[in-house]
Amino acid sequence: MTEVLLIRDLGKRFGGVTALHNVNLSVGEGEIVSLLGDNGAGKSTLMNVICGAVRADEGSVTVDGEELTSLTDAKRLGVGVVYQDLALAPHLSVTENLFLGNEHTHGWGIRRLNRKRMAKEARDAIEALGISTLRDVRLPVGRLSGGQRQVLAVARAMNWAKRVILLDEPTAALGPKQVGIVLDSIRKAADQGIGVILVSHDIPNVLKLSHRIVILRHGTVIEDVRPDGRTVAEVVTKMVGDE
Amino acid sequence: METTQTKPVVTAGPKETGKASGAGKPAAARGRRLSVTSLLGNRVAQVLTVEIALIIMFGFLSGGTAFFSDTNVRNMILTAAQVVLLGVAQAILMSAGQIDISQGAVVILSSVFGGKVMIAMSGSAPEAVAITVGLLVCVVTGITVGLINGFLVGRMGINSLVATLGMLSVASGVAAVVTKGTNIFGLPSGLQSGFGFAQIAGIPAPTLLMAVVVGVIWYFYRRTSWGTHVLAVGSNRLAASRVGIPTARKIAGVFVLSAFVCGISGFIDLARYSTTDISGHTNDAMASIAGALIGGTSLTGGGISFVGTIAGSLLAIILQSGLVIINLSPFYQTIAVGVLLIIAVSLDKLRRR
Ligand SMILES: Nc1ncnc2c1ncn2[C@@H]1O[C@H](COP(=O)(O)OP(=O)(O)OP(=O)(O)O)[C@@H](O)[C@H]1O
Ligand SMILES: [Mg+2]
Repeated sequence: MTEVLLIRDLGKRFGGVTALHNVNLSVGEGEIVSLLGDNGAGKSTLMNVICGAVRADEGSVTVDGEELTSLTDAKRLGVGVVYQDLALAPHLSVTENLFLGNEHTHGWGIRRLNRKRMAKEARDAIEALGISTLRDVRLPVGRLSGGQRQVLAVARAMNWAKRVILLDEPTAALGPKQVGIVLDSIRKAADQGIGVILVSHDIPNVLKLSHRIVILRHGTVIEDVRPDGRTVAEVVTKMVGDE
Repeated sequence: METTQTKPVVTAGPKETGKASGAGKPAAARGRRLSVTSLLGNRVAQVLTVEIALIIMFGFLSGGTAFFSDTNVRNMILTAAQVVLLGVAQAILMSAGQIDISQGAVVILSSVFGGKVMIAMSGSAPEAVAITVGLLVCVVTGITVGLINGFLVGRMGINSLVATLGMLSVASGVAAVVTKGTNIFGLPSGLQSGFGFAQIAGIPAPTLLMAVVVGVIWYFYRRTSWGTHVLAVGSNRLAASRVGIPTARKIAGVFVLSAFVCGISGFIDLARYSTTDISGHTNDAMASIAGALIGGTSLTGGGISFVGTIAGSLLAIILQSGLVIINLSPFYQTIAVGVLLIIAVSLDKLRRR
């Protein structure tokens, strides 16, 4: 399997707190890697470093062999992200959020927004993710429910992701039906050869979906295994340690 | 179009209300309706209604002629050139969650620099050249100040109120030092006759200049990704930066825009009065903020109304000139604008309930 994402000797401190220490990880094309760990283990920090939102103190992140150190690199290299806080602009519409920083434009010289095309694609993307309660893509995101926002963030990440998609608890606020749809779309993305890193506390689904599970404790990787045959109880014990 | 990006909590234009009540209904039932209730709920319509009432009242009280006299109407339209320019720039800053209270001082500073250069050149260079260079100096002065404001707020992360308060003080201080506290005289006469008092198709030239500048700004804001990105910065700066928008640069950009229109306004000042007004303009920034607020743009960012800002800016002008015409102290104007501002903002609060 070709490696799409490679993380080497990553370290990150926040003042006195060591959030990440000596993290090594690789994700292959079409591989779904789940990142597990207790609260504060460093999962979000790792995701933020991988997508260039946070700068590492040590180590490197490469996508298809090219180094990634900033959000612009991430954009260029085709990395899509669902942040734990979603990173949506509440006053902007569903469509505007979906294409924020990545707008379709037309015309020479002055690049005019192609609002028609964006609205159409937004409707399609929302439909594909099956939120039947969200009909109007012109609605400001501030008026959406928590779950609708989460699906929108997933749709945006899918839109950006050409090579890698990072999802930090993308199903935390979702109902069971919606969880199924989002997990399906993650699987579909992987089938197209996109490398996936998923952070989730939904361990039963993680065990079913992932090709590998990586357990983070106190900022270091303590397990990097296939999920086959593991039980939820085993994984939880690993995650929290012996306490 | 106008309300699509406006803050949901602030506007309930025909389109917004339609969306709010009809989100779950089939598309056909939603449509755009222009009923009386939706019109009254629309901020632009409210402001225009007040303005028309005021115009009728002042026209009536001044005996039907003085308020509608050519001179008065022309003066109001001329004043609008400067007020609307600053108002629109202020509204854009507010849509990014920023504010610029140094506008008046920048108007003065650019008029002082531009004026000095025009006077210095008028002996040696042709008048038209001196005036053109003067305009450039006004604009460059503004842009320079804007770059400093933008750096302080965008890059250094200083609160915009604090940074532009400092700039207000510095710019007016520099203007006073350069002029030794007295206004500049002896500007090329063609400046006033050829531009300040000139009319094209019956419209004062400075007002036409304003219309062109505002039109261009408006076009770029609505038609290119720039406007969306500015709104995103005002709505959630972290989210904007995470999708790769250079937020510091966007913020710096809107401060440069604000100071740029101040430069143009400084040039219009010179052209209208053939002198500077170094002790004036103290209320310019407050007026532009009030105009934008009355028009439905909020201070917290994420929304803007261009039409509202223009309508809101005109309100103060109508009040001022009307009160003068009916021989009431123009001081009542500030009271009236203050009251209307408070009413407008209270309506927004009530609607949010
Ligand atoms: N911006 C920051 N400044 C200071 N400390 C931080 C910052 N971000 C994270 N940390 C610290 O780094 C550690 C790891 O945090 P992180 O958010 O990565 O955990 P997590 O595994 O995502 O937890 P959760 O499951 O609760 O989301 C924590 O101790 C946290 O306090
Ligand atoms: Mg986290």
